[in-house]
Parts: sequence; structure tokens; C-alpha cells
Amino acid sequence: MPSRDPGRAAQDDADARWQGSGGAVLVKFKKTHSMRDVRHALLTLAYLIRREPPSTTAVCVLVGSRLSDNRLREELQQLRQVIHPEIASRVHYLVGKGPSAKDSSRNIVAFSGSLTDAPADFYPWLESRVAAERVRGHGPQLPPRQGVIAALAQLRLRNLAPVTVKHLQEVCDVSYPTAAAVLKELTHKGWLEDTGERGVRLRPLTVGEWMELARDHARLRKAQLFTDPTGQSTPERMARRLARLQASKKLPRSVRVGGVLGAAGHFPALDITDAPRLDISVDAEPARVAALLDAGLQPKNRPEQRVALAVHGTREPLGDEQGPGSEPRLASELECLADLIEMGYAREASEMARHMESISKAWRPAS
Amino acid sequence: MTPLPAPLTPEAVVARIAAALPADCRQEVIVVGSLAAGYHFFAGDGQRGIRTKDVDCMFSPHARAVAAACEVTERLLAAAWQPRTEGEWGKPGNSSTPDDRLPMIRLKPPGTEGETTWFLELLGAPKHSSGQPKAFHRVQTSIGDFAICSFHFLALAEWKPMPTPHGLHIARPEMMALANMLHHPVIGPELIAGTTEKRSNKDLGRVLALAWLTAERDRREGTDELDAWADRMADALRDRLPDRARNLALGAGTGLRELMASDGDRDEALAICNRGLLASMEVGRDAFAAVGRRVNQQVIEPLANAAQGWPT
Repeated sequence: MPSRDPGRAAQDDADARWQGSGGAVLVKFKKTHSMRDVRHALLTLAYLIRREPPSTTAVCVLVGSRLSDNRLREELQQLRQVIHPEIASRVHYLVGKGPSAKDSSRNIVAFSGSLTDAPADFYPWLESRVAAERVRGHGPQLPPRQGVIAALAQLRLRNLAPVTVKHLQEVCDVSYPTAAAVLKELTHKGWLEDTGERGVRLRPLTVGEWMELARDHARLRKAQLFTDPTGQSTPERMARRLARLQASKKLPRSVRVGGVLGAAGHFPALDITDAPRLDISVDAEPARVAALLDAGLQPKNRPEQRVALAVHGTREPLGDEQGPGSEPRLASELECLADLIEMGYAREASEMARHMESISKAWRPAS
Repeated sequence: MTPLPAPLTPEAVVARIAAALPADCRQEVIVVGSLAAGYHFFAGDGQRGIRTKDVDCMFSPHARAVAAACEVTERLLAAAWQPRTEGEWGKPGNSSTPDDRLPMIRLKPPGTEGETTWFLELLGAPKHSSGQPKAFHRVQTSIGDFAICSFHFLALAEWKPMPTPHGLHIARPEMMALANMLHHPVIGPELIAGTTEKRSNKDLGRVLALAWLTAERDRREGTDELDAWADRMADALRDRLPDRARNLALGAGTGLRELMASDGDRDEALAICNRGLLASMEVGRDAFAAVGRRVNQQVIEPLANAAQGWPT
């Protein structure tokens, strides 16, 4: 299977584009302390802006960077000396300040930098995009080994073709020894399919095996639990708010709904009528995601407190085959099954595992 | 110690007021304050009452307010309603009394003499061009001169008030919340008469009580009303106070944020709410603080963000 590097194309594109009545602004976000990264971003923007009308400007927006304004200004000046003045004058940088760690529920971000004449309504838009950038990619990571297993489970359930070890390494961002060790373990358990092709894939798993996999997954991922002192935030309401925040780019699309709501999405026959809490899977900072989702929530710190929101730190490296509609994306079946087990829905989890078993059997290619 | 007023059933009070008013005046009355909130949230729930002494009715539009107030007062007096005589404002004025020294029109329903009970207070819609925080308008009646008061930010209560089957309208909760927030950009020192409690804590606490009740209804009915507050506030500001809309929207949350940052003021606000709109709901400190954070996130910040794009 040919490997792809989805990150490469993205590096050479703008991350966002704001369109105002007087022209567009191309934006590239950078969370870095390295001037080399900034230089690359500014150059990329200079390349991009060549193909744009003269009214378009471009700005590299630094988020959470320790680089000083003086150093950034010098870098921009040097860049402007070596590229065509018509292009150079349209490339800028901005540094986002705040929000404070003490008040992560507030998204207000102030900007300083070389772009000083952007229209007023550009900044609220930029603020919301920066808020989304800030929460991205700072989450507790799933152990790499478990990430590989979760990816293989997804491949099985989606009936994707066997993959090479190299592909697994790339999508799961793991080393060869890690990927190889997982595959060795799965071979030992007899869980890998003899595909007769170049590549690996899980064989269809039984109910018991799916349950075993999900129990391990629940044990190995990290979760942060939040309580609602008012008791007013329902899972459905938070899920609707999540969808709105994602539609307005204030939360990344990588935040996915799991738990009962997610499981019911994958398995409509799920025999649970009311979700007791909202479970979400994130690859971002859980406390910040929770604060953006509902500033009224507090970390659970007493056993008797009811959980309103469970934020699971995980990665779903295989991307998303669900459409870009207005509904939040669902966490994978494995995540949802792990959530059900964690909440104590043993019978319902078994039924969902049976559904997963039937899916993977149904997808089995004819021999 | 002054006894608490008996709980009022909002539905019954609105019905009684409507019945007492001339039919052609009912459409011009917007009920504001705790009765409006109680009616909105508790009408149909015979078990739930509100504790209030003053039932505030505002006449709208401004141009008709004085004439309507005069007509209604005469009608109620003829129906044996009595002017409230307690306190230093117990006697009507005359033609030589300055407007700002006149008593407000406060009328007690018949058959309640000697009881600690509610009274009707008449207010006037503000004149749009005035910009004055508070203005008094003389009302000459057969028993002497009174005044109706207009509060500038009550112009927001005139924005899409909700009809009732009784012919009166009630102000929208989010408009009363916004009026209270704008009226108190800081925690001021003014005390509620006869108490040691700050007026701003009562009014800003009311904002959180209204948000609590809205969120509670959202939970029960699966709606997202609280999330709709910011958009409606933005529309109302641009419609009712267009000259100042941007600055008002940008600064709407300053007083509430101050309340949220002060444990003492917030506790006092909660105590007042728990004797009033939130009575018997057992709202605790953590929950009250959580509502404050939600209002900030779901109402104040989106309102300010929207205003950023408005012309200066």
C-alpha cells in the first residue's frame, strides 16, 4: 500500500483563509520556539501569496511561543530584504498572547506583531482559530503500543486492505521496534490474518476478543473526569455545543463523541435510553477542551460527585471516514466499547462487541 | 424582623392585574422584574410561588406612558385599590412638588389592608433620545400628584416582550438580565433600603438566577435557550439603543465579572436569590459560581465578540 504523508502537503499550504471585503488574509499557525520554523512559515506564505491578488496579505500567527517580538521583527526584515518588495510587504507575523492558564475558559487573545492594519472583524475570527490551535496536540497520549492496536482494530472494522509495517509506523507515529513488537505479540495470540499479501491485518475477532481489547484500551488510555455542580449540563446539550464549537472552529474536529452517544451512533440497537455522561476522545489538553465545552464544569475530586464529562486522551490516526456534517464526529467503536465497559454497562458492551464481531465477519473477503 | 411576604402565584397575580386594567391599556403594559421572571418560569406550576413586594408594570411606548399610567391609576382607585402609605413617600404631592420628590405610583389591591402583601408599581418606558439613567414623569390624579420612573436600560424590556393570555406582556428574561448587567458596570456601594445588602449584588445576582432558571428549563425541555441569549441581546441593543450598542455590548459583563471575582459579594447575591427567585431550589455556592462562569462564556463573551464587528 503506498504510504502518504498527510503532514507534508499541509506544511506547504495556509492553515486558514479569512476573506474580508477588502481582500483575503492567509494564515499559518505555528506553535514553536524555533526561529527556523518561523522562517519556513514566512517563506511558505511568500510562495503562496505570489499566486494571490495584490489585496491578499499573509500572516504567520505564533501561538504559545517564547520568541521575542524583536527577534521576530528582525527575521521578517531579513526575509523582506531577499524577496521581491511587492510580495515582502504583504507577509507578516502576529503573536497571540493569553488566555491565562488560570482562566482557560476565556478565549480572549490579544495579538501583537507586524500586521497592524487588518480589518477589525479579522481579529475575532483569528481569536477563535487560535483558541482551537491552542487546544490541539497537547493531550495525554495513548501508549504507542496501544495506538498501533487501536489502528489495526479500525482497519479491521472498516475492511481496509492489509497495511505495511511502514504505513503503520507512519500513521501511528511509532518506531519500527514498537510496531514490530505489537505485531509479534498479536501473531503470538493468533490475532493476525494470513492475508497472503504484503501487509498485516487483524483477523475477525470474537466477542470475547473485542471485549478483551476494549478492556485493555480502557485501562491504558488516560481519562479526566469533570463534574457539573449545577446538574444542568446534559450529555446531549454538551454534544450540541461541541458541534457548534467545531463548526465555528473553536474546537478541533479531532474531538470526538464516544460513550453512550457514540456507541449508539455505531450500534443503533444499543439498549441504553439515557446517556449518564458525555464521553469525548481528544488528542488535546483535556482541561482546556472541557473548559471550552462548558465553563461551568469542574474537575471531579470527590468520589460521590457524578461525572458529567469524561475526556479520554487518545489518538485516532486513521483520520475520519465520517462526513463533515454538522454533527460531531464519533469516536471509534473501540473507544466507545471501552467507554461502556468503564461505565459498567457490561451486558450492553457485550451486545456491542457482538455487533462488532458481526461487522468484521461480514466484511471478511471471500476466500 | 420584617416577615417575608407570602409566596405569590405568578399566574394569579398577572391575572388579577390584567382583570383590573382597562382592556385597551393591557397591550401597553409590560410586566418586568421578579413577577415577569416568575410568570415566565413558573406559570402553570401551582406549587411554585415567588416572594416579592413590588410588582413592576411598565407602560410602553414612552409617548403613551404618562396618559396610560394616569388612566390606570384612576381606574384602580375607583376599584378600591389603595395608594401605599408606608414610609416617607406615603403621601401624594401637589403641583408645587418637584418631579423627583413625588412618590411613585404604588397601589395595593383591595382587601389586603394591614397585610404584608404585594403592591403594584407603575413605571414608564424610557424616552429613546434621553440617555438619562433614570427619569421621573409627573402623573396628575384625582388624589394628587405622583410620578412614574423610567430607567434607561428598561428600553430593552420593550424588545419583543412575550404575550400572555391575559393581554399583558412580560419582559424577556434575557432582556431583564442585560438591563441589570448594564445598570451595574461595577459593584456599587448603594444598599437596598432597610438592609445592609448591596443593590448591585441583588440585581447582578438576579442575572445569574435568570440564567439558572433558563438552564434548568433547557435541561428539562432539551432546548438551548441560554445559548440564544447573546444573539438576542445583540439584536436588542442594536434595535433599542443603537447609538451606544457597541460600547454597551463590549462592557456588559464588567459588573458580573466583578461579582464573580468577589466571594463576599457573590455569597450575598446567592443569599438574596435563595430568598427570591431561587427559593427552595437549594442552589449552592459551587453551582452559583458555575452559572456565573457559564454566563460569562455563553453570553458575555459572544456578545462582546459580536460587537467587535459593529461600526464604532
